[in-house]
Amino acid sequence: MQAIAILDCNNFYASCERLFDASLRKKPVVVLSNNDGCVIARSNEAKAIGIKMGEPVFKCRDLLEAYQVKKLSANFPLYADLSDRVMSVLYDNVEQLEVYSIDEAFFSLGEHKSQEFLLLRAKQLQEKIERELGIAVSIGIARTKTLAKLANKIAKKNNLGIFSLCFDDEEYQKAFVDSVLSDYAIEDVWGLGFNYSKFLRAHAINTALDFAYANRRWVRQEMKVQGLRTCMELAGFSCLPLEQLEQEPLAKSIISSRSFGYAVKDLGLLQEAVANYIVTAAYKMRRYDKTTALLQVFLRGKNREGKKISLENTITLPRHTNASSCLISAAQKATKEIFDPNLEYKKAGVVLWALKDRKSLQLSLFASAENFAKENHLNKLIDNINANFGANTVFYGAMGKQKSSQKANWRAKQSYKSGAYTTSWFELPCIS
Amino acid sequence: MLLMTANRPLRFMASGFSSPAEDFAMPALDLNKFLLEHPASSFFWRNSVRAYEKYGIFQGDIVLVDRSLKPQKKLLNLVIYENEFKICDFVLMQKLLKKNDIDFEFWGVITVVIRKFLDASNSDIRL
Repeated sequence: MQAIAILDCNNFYASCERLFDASLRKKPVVVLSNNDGCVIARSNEAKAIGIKMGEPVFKCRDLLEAYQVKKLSANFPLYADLSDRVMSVLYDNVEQLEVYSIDEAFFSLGEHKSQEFLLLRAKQLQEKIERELGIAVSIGIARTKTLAKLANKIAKKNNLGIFSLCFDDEEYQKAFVDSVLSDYAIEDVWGLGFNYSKFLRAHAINTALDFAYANRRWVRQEMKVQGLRTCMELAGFSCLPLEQLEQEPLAKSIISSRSFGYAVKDLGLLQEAVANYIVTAAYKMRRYDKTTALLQVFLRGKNREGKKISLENTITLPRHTNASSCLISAAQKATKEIFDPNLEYKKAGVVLWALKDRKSLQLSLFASAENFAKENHLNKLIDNINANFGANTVFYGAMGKQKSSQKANWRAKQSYKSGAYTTSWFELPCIS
Repeated sequence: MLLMTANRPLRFMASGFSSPAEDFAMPALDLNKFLLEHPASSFFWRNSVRAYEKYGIFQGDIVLVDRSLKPQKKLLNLVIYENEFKICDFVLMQKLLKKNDIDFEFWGVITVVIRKFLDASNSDIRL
């Protein structure tokens, strides 16, 4: 029997920050969302004083002040780099690594291994990552992914940070897993959404064990094949293989959007913001060597009566392109068309639809292949410069001033941001 | 992970005579390979004080710290002392680690010091 493990970094964002700022150790720490609006990560100390996940800052301001909680703006370049480091340590040490999220990964611990071996191996990995990257991790081990996820949730709460549902004796294992499942609420099962959990409760399926032994035909009928898979996985039959991706899959569309730091009323500033989102989305598109000819701009805001209003505009381009400049001018035109001066805007975004491989493109009657190659070359060049010398070293005038511009107040508030410690020579952590 | 490649075009093709050195060509020297033994567990830090001149580490120097190594005799270490990051030699560190009444923690072993004498990208100083 194979053993599947999932490793999950504890309080990942807070741990990343602590690695380079010793004053954050042993103190309650919260990390705030892109606009310093909501709590998106908490250290154990912050959890203990009752700050909720996703809670808006204004709602927990008293708590934050009373306990002198350290607030940090999200520093995604740092988290992404440390995530890569965690994954690369894992990649060198385990088989069949499947990166599941920024701070979680499934992997195989091999087949026909003894229960002692599995626990020892998990402990070694846990210690290695804690020592080398300063990040505490929890590991759940089981025969299926769904059970491993469940074991991981238990591991987070025990002292070891490791919990295994794999045993040498199969009958003992079955009895043990059943006893754990009988104590596990249906809402906490991986892969079941809020609606399905409610549906199952209504049918007197209250624990993971009830679901594991539910009538499979009924499950299949009511919850499709995904529901059946979860049910089988809880019963110990592995239905979800480890997926090793050579490259991250790209969805058929790319979206880039943000909330503004302040309400924006000015068309020029909106267009500036939209240009920035286009550049982000177009860069991502070029990384996958795709092009688009269908572009959507959306704006969200309030009118004078405070009613929420949402505007959008979709444009078809005359031909497929991956050039930021073409997309920017189209997006700005689209913005202008729907702009309503009576609204206050809180958010804007762009979507690039119907992506196609650049290499398989049919050029239209009017587009010369040469122009297209030039355009592609120019954009790749800009991408290279920005990759080597820092984001937005070279940028389009339409994006507005990139640094500390008084006018560009649509940019998200990030008042408590720590340095890009591992990705910028200018923001290295300091020895004193 | 770290962007520091040898940024030179690899090889040019000769249009006339093929190079007699072609079969012996090797990739150019790469500082990353030379200095970064463990890229996943190594971090760059900047020294902002003059206190470590006795160790040959000057103000403004960049040091590379490897967290996958055991503290080594005769080597320098990055440590946390009273919430601040400091450089500490092995002997002093062993002494301080034994004390229970202070906030002292080992962070990593210093493996490399980088000192840039000038910013060579400045075009005014080119020949």
